[in-house]
Amino acid sequence: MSENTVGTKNPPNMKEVYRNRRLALLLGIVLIVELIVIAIFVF
Amino acid sequence: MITSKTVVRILLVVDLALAIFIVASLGFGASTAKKYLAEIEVGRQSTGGAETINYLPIITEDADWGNASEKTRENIAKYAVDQSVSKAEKDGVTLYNVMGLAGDDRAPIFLYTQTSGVITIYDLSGEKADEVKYA
Repeated sequence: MSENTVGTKNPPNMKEVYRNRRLALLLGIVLIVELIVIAIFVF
Repeated sequence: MITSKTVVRILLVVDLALAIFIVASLGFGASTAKKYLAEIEVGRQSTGGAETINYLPIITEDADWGNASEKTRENIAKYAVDQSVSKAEKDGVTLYNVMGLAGDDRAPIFLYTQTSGVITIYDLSGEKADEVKYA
């Protein structure tokens, strides 16, 4: 019984994982835009 | 183990740092330009009937051009044009051309003119050195 529940003790909240992925994607796009802005300033 | 939450946190920190850097750079450019520009001199010149109004940016005497990078000079030129234009608007004068001097004998001098959103930068010999689009 305890062995079976080891892996599922803290099951990932898939809703949260998907939300974090979307956030990461958004922040990644923001990062790229910021890098482009800095590149424009420098060159 | 790197979770999606960790990735989001790292990206958030990096994004914030870059955003602060960009804003700080913008502020630094403007404050540096302000430091170099003392005032705008307005002069009237009459040439054969036609009167020309000159808006000449005056550079501070203690401005150290030896340390000013090309980017700083460009910022100063843009700032000077901006100030000239806003002063002319305040005075109710339509500017067709703005000419200014940015530099002294210790560093290369360039003149710039602004006509319909474009600053033309000339070097000491009077040859066109660069063209900067100006909004």
